[in-house]
Amino acid sequence: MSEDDEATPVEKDAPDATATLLRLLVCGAVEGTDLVLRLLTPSPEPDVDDSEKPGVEKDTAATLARQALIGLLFEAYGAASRGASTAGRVAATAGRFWGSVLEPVARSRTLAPMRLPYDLLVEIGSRELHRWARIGRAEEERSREVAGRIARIPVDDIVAYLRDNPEMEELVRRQAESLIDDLADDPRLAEVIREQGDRYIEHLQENSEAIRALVQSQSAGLASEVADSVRERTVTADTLLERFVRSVLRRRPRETLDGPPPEVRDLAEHPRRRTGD
Amino acid sequence: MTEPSDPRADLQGQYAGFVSRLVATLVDFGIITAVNVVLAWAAIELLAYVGADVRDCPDLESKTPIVAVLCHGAVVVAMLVGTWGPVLYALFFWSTTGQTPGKAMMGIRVVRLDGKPMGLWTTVRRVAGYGLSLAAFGIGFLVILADDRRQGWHDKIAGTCVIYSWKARQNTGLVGRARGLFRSA
Repeated sequence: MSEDDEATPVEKDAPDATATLLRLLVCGAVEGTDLVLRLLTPSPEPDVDDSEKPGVEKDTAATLARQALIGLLFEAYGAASRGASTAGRVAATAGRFWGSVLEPVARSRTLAPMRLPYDLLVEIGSRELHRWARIGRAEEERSREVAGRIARIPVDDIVAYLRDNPEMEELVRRQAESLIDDLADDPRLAEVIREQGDRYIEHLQENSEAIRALVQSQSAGLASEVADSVRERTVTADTLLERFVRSVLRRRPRETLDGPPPEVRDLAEHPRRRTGD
Repeated sequence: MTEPSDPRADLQGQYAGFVSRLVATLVDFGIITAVNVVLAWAAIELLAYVGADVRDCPDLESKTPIVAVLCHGAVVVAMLVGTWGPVLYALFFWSTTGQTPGKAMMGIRVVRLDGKPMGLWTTVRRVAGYGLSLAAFGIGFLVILADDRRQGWHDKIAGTCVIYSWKARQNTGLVGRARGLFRSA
């Protein structure tokens, strides 16, 4: 097994909330330390080669020490986890063994006066443990809520700040204009547009009949739509004006009158049909 | 069978009303006028080309009798076209399809009440009746508003009526607004 393949003591036990928390803490500490060191260290001379800098070797040693510390931390956590697990198993086995061995003694009348204070002690201990668990549960939930609130608020604030900031708007505008200028002067884009244009023209030439038919049908459709709209209005005016006149003249409403006979109505659709002479 | 009362009903084949017919007549009038104007303009320009002015045609005894004949002839033709042009227009379209271009645009058609083809004689009677309705200060047209079959005098004379040839329907929005207006009034 190579050195790279070697897993950390807690890596195999995923998902492990404690290990994740530990990693977060380590990450925060490492990143924070790096940031502080970068801010405190003066920037190097540009003409000096990296291999000649005295700080490089020092940095490597510091990095090694830091990584060793992190490794130790995880090793200790892994060992503690394994130890706690083993201790728990041993304690349970011992408890079962000694419980069965000492049961006759513990239940004897001789030790009865001592059992009462012992049970009381156990009960108090148990009650206290449950109280701590309750507090833990409540605090955990409260902590999650606070963490969620903190994670959300800054993002909203940043978005609002960027949205309302005139400097940011100016920056975006300047960048967009610069991009448009670049695109306008870009010969590659001009070539792409020319190629696309040629392709469209070729397509139009190849399908000229279909396109002509399409344009004609569109024009006819538009004209028909306009004509229908005008007709609808005049038909409505026919009805309204006639209704008014007939009501003034006290004549029967049109709805109560007979329409044209069927042979006349047929002529609406078939004007040349002969119905006999 | 009574006429439908539902505003959304299909009115194809029902008697066409006054406004549709009036608009169709105005469209036809516009077409006839446009044709007359174009012909008159062409005649005036042609005569001007040969040196004649239709407002002051030369006498037949003048030095250019041919131009005088052309000028007087053009005036006579213009009068004939102006007078009989609309008559010929109506005779041709009513007797063939029952629809002048204006009526076709408005989706209405002239038909005989018995359902038979129009024929020349019916068309002539209708044209004559048209003249009579016009001569009576348009009263012959206004009776369309009150007649049960929406017939004018010319329709009564010729035994014709006018029907919607398209799938006519009312504009329900307009009907609703008109009802609201009548209610508020």
